Amino acid sequence: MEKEQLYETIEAYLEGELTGEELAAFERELTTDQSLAREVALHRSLQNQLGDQPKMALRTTLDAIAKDFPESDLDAGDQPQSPNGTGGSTGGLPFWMWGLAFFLVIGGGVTWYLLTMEDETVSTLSTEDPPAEEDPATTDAETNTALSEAGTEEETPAEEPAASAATPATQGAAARPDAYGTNRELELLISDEPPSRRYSFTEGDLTYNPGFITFSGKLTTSRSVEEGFYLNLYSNQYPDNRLLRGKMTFSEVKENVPQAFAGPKDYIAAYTGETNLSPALYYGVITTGDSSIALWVGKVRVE
Amino acid sequence: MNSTQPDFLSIVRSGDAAGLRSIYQEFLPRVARHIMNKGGSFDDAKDVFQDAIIVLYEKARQPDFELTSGFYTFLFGVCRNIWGNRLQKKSRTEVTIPDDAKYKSDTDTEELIFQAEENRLFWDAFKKLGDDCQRLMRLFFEKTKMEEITSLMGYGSVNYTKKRKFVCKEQLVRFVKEDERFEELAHKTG
Repeated sequence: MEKEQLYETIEAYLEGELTGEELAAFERELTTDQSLAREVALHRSLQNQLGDQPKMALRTTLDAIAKDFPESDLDAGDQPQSPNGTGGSTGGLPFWMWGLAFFLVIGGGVTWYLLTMEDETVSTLSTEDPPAEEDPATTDAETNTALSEAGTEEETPAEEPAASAATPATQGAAARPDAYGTNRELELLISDEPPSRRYSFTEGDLTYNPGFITFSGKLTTSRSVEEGFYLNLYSNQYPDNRLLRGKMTFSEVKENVPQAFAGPKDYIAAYTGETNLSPALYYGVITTGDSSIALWVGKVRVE
Repeated sequence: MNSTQPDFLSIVRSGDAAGLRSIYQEFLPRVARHIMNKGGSFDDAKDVFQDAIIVLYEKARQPDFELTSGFYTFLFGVCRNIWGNRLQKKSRTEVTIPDDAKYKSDTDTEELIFQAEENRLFWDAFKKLGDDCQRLMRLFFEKTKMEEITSLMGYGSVNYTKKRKFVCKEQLVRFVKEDERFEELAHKTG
């Protein structure tokens, strides 16, 4: 069997799309062909692991955190410390941002600007942090030396870290000078033309009342709204991590005069989600069910 | 548990970036010191730490899971086990495993550690793909319909999308198989 055909068959089998004689034949082959069985197992694992969206999102977030965790922080771990996490966000852009980037490239857009954007973000967000050492070889050696000189007692995990665990990192952002700082990429999305002609969100309004985030606005489209639209919430502090994702509801605005042709229809779009937000600036991004393209972006300042 | 302590398990469950960052600040240095004492680098430590968070995340997703020990005790135990596994794999060719490198944990945790190691292998392979393939593969694994992928990716036809999907997936499978950890994991599942 050609490899491409083999992949198709394995995927159809895993999706339960093989039936009748086709299924029976494939299962017979599975019992006798070890390498086929291993190949099927690998495809199943890949599907299970890489299809696990929350876990993929977590990996992305953790990569971004690890990327700018300096080795120099190794000595500071046991003491309570103020969060220096605002140096973050050097790691990959959120998935939907790549979607937008992709869209602009296709549309002959401003590729260069997007390519340089990540660096600019770093300088915007990391004002509190000195730049990390750039020479991993020397810092590695230095840290190792420092550690061995400092005495390398065995870790005893039996005790919880004392009160230092009450790190202020999760407290309100108001203490941070850039608590209401804007995010460059998201701001650009707001000022840009909407990337989709199919779905036009207008008059959007994002509001926060203690315990609830609410969106209301208008969607104009000639397509069905069945596929689902989602409001994704990000904070200015950690734009690479989604705080919330919720499905929006739509109710059609009936025209008084019936239209001769099925032209675009207007819908009242709404979303209310329960969440407690600490003081910061938050961005709401609307996407369709499977898409990563931002259809609307707005912000709300939480005091 | 100390009532002033943040609920680290909930942070892991929610994936809240600010909270996760605080977990790194609080615990990574101690884990890193341990791993660097056991022959690992700082990058090794960060990988192990991340995989342990993934294990905790899986635990936290289980509806009836409660930490019977402290958060750090559990996290540290998982880190030790993951690093012990890595040393064991290396030892097949070069190193003797220190006696204390491997600690007992329950079978459920062992299984989750195995899954996290597999997830790490796939994740590393996935990140080697080009941006276009990464997007396509994400959409494919999220079971997006081919027609939708075609439109989202801006491809000309569904047939082209299928072709491209095959090329990307073949590349992903190759990256996985070329990785020495793949044989180790296959060995483990028997």
